[in-house]
Amino acid sequence: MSEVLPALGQIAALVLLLVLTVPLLARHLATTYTGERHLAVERLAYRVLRVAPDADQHWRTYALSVLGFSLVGVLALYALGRLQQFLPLSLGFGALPADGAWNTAVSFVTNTNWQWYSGEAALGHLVQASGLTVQNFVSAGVGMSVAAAFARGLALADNGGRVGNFFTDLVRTVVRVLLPIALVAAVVLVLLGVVQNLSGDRVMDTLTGGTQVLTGGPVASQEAIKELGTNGGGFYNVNSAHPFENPSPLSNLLEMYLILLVPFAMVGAFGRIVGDKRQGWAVGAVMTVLLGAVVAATTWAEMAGPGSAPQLAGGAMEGKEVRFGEAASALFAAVTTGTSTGAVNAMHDSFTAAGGGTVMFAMMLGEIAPGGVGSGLYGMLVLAVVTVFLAGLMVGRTPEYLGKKISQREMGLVAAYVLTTPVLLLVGIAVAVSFDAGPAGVLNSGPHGFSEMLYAVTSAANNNGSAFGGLTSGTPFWNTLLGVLMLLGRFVPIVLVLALAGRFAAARRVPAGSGTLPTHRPLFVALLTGVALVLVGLTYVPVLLLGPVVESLS
Amino acid sequence: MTDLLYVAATIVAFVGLALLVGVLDRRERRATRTSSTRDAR
Repeated sequence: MSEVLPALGQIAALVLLLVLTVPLLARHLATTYTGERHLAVERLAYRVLRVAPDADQHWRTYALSVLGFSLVGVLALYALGRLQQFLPLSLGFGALPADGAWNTAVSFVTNTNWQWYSGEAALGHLVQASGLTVQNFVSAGVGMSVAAAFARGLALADNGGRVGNFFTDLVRTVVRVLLPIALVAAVVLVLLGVVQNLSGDRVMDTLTGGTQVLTGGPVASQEAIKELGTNGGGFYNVNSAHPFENPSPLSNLLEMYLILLVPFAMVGAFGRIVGDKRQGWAVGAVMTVLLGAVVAATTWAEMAGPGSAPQLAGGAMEGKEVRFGEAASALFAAVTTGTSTGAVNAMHDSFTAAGGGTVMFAMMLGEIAPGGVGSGLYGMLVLAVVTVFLAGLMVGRTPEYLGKKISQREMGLVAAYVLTTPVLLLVGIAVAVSFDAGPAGVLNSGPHGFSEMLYAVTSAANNNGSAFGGLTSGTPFWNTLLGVLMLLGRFVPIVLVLALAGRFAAARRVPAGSGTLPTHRPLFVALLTGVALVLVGLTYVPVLLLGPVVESLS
Repeated sequence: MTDLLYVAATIVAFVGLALLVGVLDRRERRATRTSSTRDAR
């Protein structure tokens, strides 16, 4: 009982913070993506980028802008990694290996933040701050912009497939949303004890007469956007388990709040953009139900500690920080794997088989509960289209969503979207186990070793970025394989969702009739939740059986 | 040499994605043309 009350208390505090602030941010986001006024600093950015901010782009141009912008990001970050030894503030670190620099560049541009390296032992302040942190802002901005374009596509009609202007969306997202909140969050994190300086390694004498190297750096500023943008790339190797990144239960609560804030607010903004707030509430309800289930299952698994080792030890505390305990570690894991955030405050490799399997399942849901900033919303909306299509089949009527008819052509795009990540994930794990270089990096044998590889490809294909641990992934094989999965797992769905947005924007709006399935009622919430679970269940149960399920039964 | 390989692979991947955009757009325009012709008839 003594551990249950604090566990429920932190969930209640988190929910309260979100309930108080999400509606405010949702309104601000809706204004950001629909307003016509440009701020002075935004006009300056448009002048530098040489773009016309009021020119609406066809979905094709929008998608090519996303791709072009991201290509430049990957190449620039790759160059920073490879030329680090010539850069100031490098702290004496040399260049990253080619495969490692490429993996890191792709990882941060795709909002994945998979880290094969130890931040404090491989990267100087310039690369961390001007490379990785900048990408934390803009990769989050790209995801939010695409979600805004999709929402506009549903809201508009008969406009020839124009979905807005990518550069306007991106600049506004960064200037009006991410920068101000991240600035305030960074200051609060500093007040809570997170490090923020430009010092390098400091050798300290310990109380026992030994020495210890303490590495400082611009941690709080990176930490704020790392959580707010559902990025997850930590300054230190152990990420938010490090006391300089996440010193106390209070900072832990703040970090979880920052992770969930924008994904839920984007849902509220969606409701406002399409002119029916109830639509946003319905989608948000599905996300809440799914996240709640993952939180409950992970917390149970870690607090009950099934398995002989936790039972003998009196708790599943291996790999967890004493200052957080089992419940806060489980909650953090559920929140990060439900949101495409690669942060960890405990080592998932040490979770119970049931707990590790649950967080893997949370990622396999496709990062929709509530998902990454932007990507969670458009992922869930694609599933909403699948749901109205299935409901239409049941009653024999042409399905429609928000007044847009769903025909064979829309379903072609939706099917391609839904299949992309599973194909990448399952082909990825097949490749990993087919070559000697895959299992060579695994620390454990048997089903747990398989889980270590499965977690890595799941994390990469879904752009989550968290690591199970126990896998030495800093090899050319793993860096290249995971880089490919991250790249395709991010941009193929973006292209498909923008094509879908263009179709919706070009389509005529049909008035709701007696056969229209209301998409704001509890029935739709239940249907959508079922579709998400059945799709994931049918796709991934076999591969989950080989890892966490076999492990928990053995 | 390895650098060239990774840079070239990145560019090829993004060109491939751009081609996907082109293919989807062409399909879309062809479908729109077909449906306009049908409507006109």
